Formats: sequence, structure tokens, C-alpha cells
Amino acid sequence: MSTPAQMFDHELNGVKGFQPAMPWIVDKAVDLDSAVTPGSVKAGMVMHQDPTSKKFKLGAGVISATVAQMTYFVFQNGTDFDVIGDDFNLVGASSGGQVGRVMGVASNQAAELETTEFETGTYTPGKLLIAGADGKLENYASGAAILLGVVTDGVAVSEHSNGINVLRFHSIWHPLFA
Amino acid sequence: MSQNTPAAMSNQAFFDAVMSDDRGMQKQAAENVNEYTRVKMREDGFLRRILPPKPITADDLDIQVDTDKPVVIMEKEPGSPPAISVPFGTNPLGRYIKGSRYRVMFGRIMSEKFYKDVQELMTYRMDIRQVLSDNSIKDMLTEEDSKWIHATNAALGGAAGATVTTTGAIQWQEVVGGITRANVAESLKIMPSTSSRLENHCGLINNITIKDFLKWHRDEVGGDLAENFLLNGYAEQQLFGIKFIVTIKQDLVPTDTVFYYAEPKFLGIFMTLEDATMFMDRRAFMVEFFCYETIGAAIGNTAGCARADFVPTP
Repeated sequence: MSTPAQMFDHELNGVKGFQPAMPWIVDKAVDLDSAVTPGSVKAGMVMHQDPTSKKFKLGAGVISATVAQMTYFVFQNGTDFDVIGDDFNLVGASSGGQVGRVMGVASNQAAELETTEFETGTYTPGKLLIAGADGKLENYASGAAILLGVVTDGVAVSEHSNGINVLRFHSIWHPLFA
Repeated sequence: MSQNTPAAMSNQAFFDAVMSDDRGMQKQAAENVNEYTRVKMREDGFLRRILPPKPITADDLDIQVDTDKPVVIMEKEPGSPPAISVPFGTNPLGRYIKGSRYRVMFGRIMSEKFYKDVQELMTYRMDIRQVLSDNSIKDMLTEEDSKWIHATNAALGGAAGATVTTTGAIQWQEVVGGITRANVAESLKIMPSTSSRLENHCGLINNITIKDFLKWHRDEVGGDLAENFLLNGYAEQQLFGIKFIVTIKQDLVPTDTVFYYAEPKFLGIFMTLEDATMFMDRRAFMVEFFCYETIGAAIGNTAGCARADFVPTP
């Protein structure tokens, strides 16, 4: 027997300052870029708008001397039923075309968040966070990057399941240029 | 209504409710309401005429293990193998029963949120809030229609000449020679030619294409209809025994194209978990409102739609 997937396997949870659809929240609903497989997008991951397609891609994007993408923490999974539908359903950005549209919370807002999407590591309070190309959070080491979080309480066991860990952090947006 | 309490209410109730208090929201004289210059033609949605929506409640939803997104599971008529002739003493072939189902997912469509200082609102002679809210509803219906056309095109294989996987038939066809009576009659054969043998229940056509029908002579359409065309132009017409729905949304229904749909029970389902609703809030001197709805719809039977593109003779 296997354990069926649960709705809390991947999640972005607002601890302080973030609550979906509240007037003070700056969110953004954007189509997934055609290069992104919907199944690879999990709630709590980091995405950015591709400068060419203007659609969401995983990670923080490429940083240069004059360009740094705004980063977003995704609230839905890329395969959630309100993001993308079975064939010929009328949900999603383009029904039948199987293009999903997810909502992300801009990381430059003051909020304390929990995410299930982070790389294994040591996360102590004050550690600076960046996003890998797969959209998962990780500790900042060196070089040019967009800092998008500061660890607060670090890793904890999810309230929903002993088998799931969450990383608690404060969202920021601060580009570091080389 | 409390001045600071958000409330969800119908479009008409919005107007009445806002007007019911006397805090600077004075209704303009009725004769002024409609005196403004329109810049864009809008219309109600055609999806709701092709597939009438069915209101549902939480009791109708099917609970899932892995998600709390609303879902309704629909059952489809099972296929049945043909009967065969056999000699005496023959056992029947076995067929274990398995049914077919499809899921209907739900999504939200919403307008932008409009907000304004009520004192500035007073300077408009037209009721700009009513105009914006009316147009927002129609814009939401346009989004429904847009999704429906995308779904239809996908169900038809995405391009003219494509074979629909589920039916094995070509249901998006090009008809050469323009819109003549003979060609339109030819296009009516597309849907009934699938193995499901469904009949066309309605046609969807834009307001440019329908004007080609007006060119038909008396000997093509018959005396009464030709006279009606001449005197009254087009309206929603019953031609060839089917209802033609005329839309101005040429970006969705291209010129020289007709979509055909079967009866709703052969086509799919359209459900409203929360039909078009106006949310309005007023705090002190600021008023804001937006419209939203939660709908789910799906083409459950790809044999129930067809598309004909009328192209000129090469």
C-alpha cells in the first residue's frame, strides 16, 4: 500500500503578514511559461517572470548589473484543479491548451512564511536565502544573487504530518550584484 | 446595510443598496443615466445559450483525497459492442462492465476592482458605477466564451483537417467555395458523420459571416425568409432546422467560420458554483466594487461539436 498524495504535501503558509486575497497583499497571477512542466511547480516554490515571455519560470532568474527579476512565492501547485484542468475543462489560462496560471506573492513584502520547498541544509536564524533553478529555497553562499528570505525559526515539522518539514523565514527582496 | 461591512450582492441590489443611504451617494436623475457615448459594443455570453448553466451547491461537489479544490465527477454513457449473428448453440461473448467518467474542475473569473472617492464620483452625470459593473459582468461572460472556444478548438484537434482522437473523425473541416446554401448544407454533415451520429442543435456564427446569408437569393432560401432578410436583416435565425446564434465576438468566432454544437445533454456540462456576483464595500468616503463568479464547465463528448471554415475557391 502507498500513502495517497495529500493537499498539504506542498504548501506556502502565511505565519504573519500574508493571507490570500487580502487587500494589502501584492500578488500576481501569471501563466506558466511553455518551458515549465506544470507538475514541477509546487506550492511554496520561487518563481519569476521570464523577461521575454513575461510568464512564470522557476527560480529567481538571471541577475546582471542592471537587471534583477522580482521573485514570487507560489501559492498553488502547477497541477491544482483551479490552475490547470483535464482536457476540455474551462479552468486555467487557456482551456484545452493546457496552460496553467498560478498566483505568487511578491517576496518584497513584509511577511513571515513557511514553505515545504527547500533544499536539505542547516537553516539557523539570520541565514540568508536564495532560490535554486528548481525553485527551492537554499542558503546563500556567495556571488551575485537575489536574496529573498531571512531564516527566522528555521526548519520545523509540519503541523499536518510528521513526515513533512517546513522552513520558516521572513520574505525580502534584495539583489546582490557581482 | 452597515457602512463598513463588506457584502456580496446581486448586480441590481448593489445599485439599490448603495443608493439606500444618504452619505453623499446621490442618485443622478434617471434621464441622465443613459446619456453617454458608448465606444465599444458588448453582448451577453454565447456559451450560456449553447450550454445553459446549472446552479449547484456544496452538496453536489465530489470530495477528493489529494485536494480541496471543488470537483464534480460526471458519468458518461458507456459504449456497447454491437450485437452479432451466431449459429445455434453459441455462447455470448463476455464483456465486463466499466463505465466512463470525466471531472469538471472549477475556477474563478473576476473583474478588476474599481474604487473611487465618492465626492469625485458626484461629478459624473452618467452612473459610472452602474456602467462599469454592467460591463464587468459582460466582460466575465466574454472570458467564459473565450475559454469555451479554446476548449472547442482543442477538442476538435486544434486545426482544420485534424482527426479527433476520441471519435476518429475529422470534425474541423474546410469547406471550399464560400458561404453558399449548398456549402452550408454540406457543413451540416460534419457532426452527424461521426460514429455518434449526433445532430446539429445550434450553430455559432459572427455578425460578419451572417451577412453573407443575406446575399442568398429568393430561389435559395425561399420567399418568406428572403423577404424577412431583406426587410429585417438577420437576427437569431432558425435555418436548416437549427438555431444560429450570432455573436459580435469576431476575435473568438472568426469570419467565415461556423461552430456547430449538439444538444446540451450530448455535449457536456456547465455549472455555476457561485454565479456572477457583485462585491461592494464602502469605507467613509471611498467606495469599491468588483464582480466574480465560480464556474465549472467541460466538453464531455467531443462528438458533440464541429467546426466549418468556409474558404474561397483556390
